[in-house]
Amino acid sequence: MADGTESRVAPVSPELAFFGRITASVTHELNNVLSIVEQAAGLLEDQLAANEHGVPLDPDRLRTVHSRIERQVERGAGIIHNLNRFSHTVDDRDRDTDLGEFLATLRALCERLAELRHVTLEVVPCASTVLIRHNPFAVLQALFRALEIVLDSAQAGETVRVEALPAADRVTIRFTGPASGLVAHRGPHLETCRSLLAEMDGELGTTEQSGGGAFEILLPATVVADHC
Amino acid sequence: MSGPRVLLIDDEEELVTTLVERLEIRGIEAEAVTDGHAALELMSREPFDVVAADLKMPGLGGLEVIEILRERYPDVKILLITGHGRPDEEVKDYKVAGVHEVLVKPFSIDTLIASIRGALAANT
Repeated sequence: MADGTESRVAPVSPELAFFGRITASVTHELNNVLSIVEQAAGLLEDQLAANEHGVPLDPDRLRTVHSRIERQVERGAGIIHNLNRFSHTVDDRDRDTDLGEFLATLRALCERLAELRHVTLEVVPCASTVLIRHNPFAVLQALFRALEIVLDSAQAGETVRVEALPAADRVTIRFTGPASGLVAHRGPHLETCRSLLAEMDGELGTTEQSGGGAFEILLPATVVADHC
Repeated sequence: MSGPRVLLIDDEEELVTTLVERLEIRGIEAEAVTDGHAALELMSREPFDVVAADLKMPGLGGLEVIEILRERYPDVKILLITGHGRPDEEVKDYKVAGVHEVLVKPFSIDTLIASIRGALAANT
């Protein structure tokens, strides 16, 4: 990753490094939530202390600070929910998982990474229920690695799009981004992605078109029902 | 007010807004912006004694902002804010970069004020 986070954990296995990378990113965001809650609670305390010295309490101001705390608690609960969903991907090594769940988790884990690059991340909901029978942690890691490469290749102001294209007994997950850097990309993330996909009878493809390029992950899948 | 003027830079808007309110209650004049470009634009118009910048922000990151500040405003004291659990690992050369202190989130208002005062009292 461009921020160099992973270089410090390079000697450990790619799986552990991935787990560490995600938890570091999520806990970093939780620190922001806690910081806001701490300061908002402190501001309420400041206002009560001023009131003890005769300054009247301002109900509108109190409501504003209270809403700030409520919003952050809700945000924190969402972050913890996503971390919990991610943690449970290691529970079973071989089970059917809805691709929609993978994409929702991927979006939650990568939104901040995209935001830091001023890149818009668009994850298109699946039009069908697509089940993937494999180790969910490995599937998520492969998706994350592919998205990571596309995000790293994108420039500020660009959009990276993730969409699923189911067909018969396979699904293609397409990561569309800028053409530059994708085709020529070589690096540990790409190799990790390739070896993970090889274990699940999947493939990694790259397409190039005018104005953009895409990574495509092909995985064996079962299309259960159309949503539309 | 005639005390120090502090600029807070963090893309967590509710954090910097709240910190500004709390600093002002304590007699420290403060302003907040949510990105590095806005900070540089504001600093070109108004003087500040201390700048506290978050390390990771969209666009210009904290270290990039600091590098520009060091060139343009060498007298301004700089604090770096981070949510990283091991800031010594993440910003090994922060003292070389001219950062007076690294504040790890979440921090108390007293810690922030002590760091502001410490930075103002420092010679370099």
